[in-house]
Amino acid sequence: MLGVGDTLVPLIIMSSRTHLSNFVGHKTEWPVYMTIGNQSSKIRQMPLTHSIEIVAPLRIPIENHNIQQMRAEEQRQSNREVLNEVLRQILQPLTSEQNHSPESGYNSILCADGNCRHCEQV
Amino acid sequence: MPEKTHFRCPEFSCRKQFTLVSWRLKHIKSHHPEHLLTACQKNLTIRSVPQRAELAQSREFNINKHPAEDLDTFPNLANDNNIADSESKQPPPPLAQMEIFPGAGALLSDFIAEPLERDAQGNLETHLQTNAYYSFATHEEYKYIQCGIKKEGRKTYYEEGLKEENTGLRFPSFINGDGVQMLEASMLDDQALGEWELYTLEHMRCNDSRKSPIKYWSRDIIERMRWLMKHPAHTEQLIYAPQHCFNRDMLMERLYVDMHTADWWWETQVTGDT
Repeated sequence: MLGVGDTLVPLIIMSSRTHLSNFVGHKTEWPVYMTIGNQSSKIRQMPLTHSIEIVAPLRIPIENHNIQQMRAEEQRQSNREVLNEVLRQILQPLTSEQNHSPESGYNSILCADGNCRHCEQV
Repeated sequence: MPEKTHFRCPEFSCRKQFTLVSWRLKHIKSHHPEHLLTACQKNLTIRSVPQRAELAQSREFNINKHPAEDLDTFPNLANDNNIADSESKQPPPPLAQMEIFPGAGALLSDFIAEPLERDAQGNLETHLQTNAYYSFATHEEYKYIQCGIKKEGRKTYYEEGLKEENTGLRFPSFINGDGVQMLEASMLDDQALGEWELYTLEHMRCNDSRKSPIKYWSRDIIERMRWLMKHPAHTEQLIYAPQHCFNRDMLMERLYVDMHTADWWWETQVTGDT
């Protein structure tokens, strides 16, 4: 819960299928990126600021045109379940009650100006 | 060559054109005195106030004269009284362009740094001092990321150099789809990208034909968030409290620029009064 004087840290999760190489084999990845909303969007989108972090490079799900037509819907449902499970595990630290206990020091975050603030992730 | 601006006589039956305002006022004074007051008021709205104020202050010997009598030589002196009134008034206070949520982003004065955070900060400074390719581990890793980016008319780094060095460096291939994951996993633990862990979904398969469980690499998003919050490059850009931004020109017109200027953040923040 957010208290008086606390700092809100909005986490922004984004994902996009990315073309990596023109050589052989798998040419694409599906990375999951993360950044924080405590910066202006102009600064955040500058590549040299390193404001966007890769959290997980996911595997590309099996595409439907590679399998039989009668099993396309089943494969599509399987892909959804796998992606949902992976994202649930990645975001699991945000909802863990063990992390949010006051003894863990989870919310005390060292900021760039050298001070420490009580932050709450959203 | 631009055309000269013509000033017309306000009398409908006359409508004579003049190239200067002073000539027009002279004509009105001599031929149509009933339009003199109207012409002086129009002159006030057209000319800018600071210019007239300077002229009036530099020619004090004409202040006590009637404005309509000396319009030919000093046409701007007709409005001295109005200028004096406007100068005596206090200027309105400037509009608040930004309002910051009071009390948000407070510092923790009794904070004692954990050993882990002290180590992490020390590593960060060490990386920034010694490694010019931070947040990549080495120069090879930096080039590895760039090798897939092919610009028009240029050979990629892979075609120029890494093709010959491939055997010696044991460069991972993309054939089985594990190349990127293997490279990420082989990074040193104390480097910036060294927090990767392999996770396995034991009870899930890609499809029935594949027996091996699904594996993926990921790292803790909380640690990533902490790293972003304490990165020294973000010192001046970080925002700790929501803001209300207003347009300076339009009174009370809200500006929604970023996430911290929206109503959601302001309403989520808890005030000390409640």
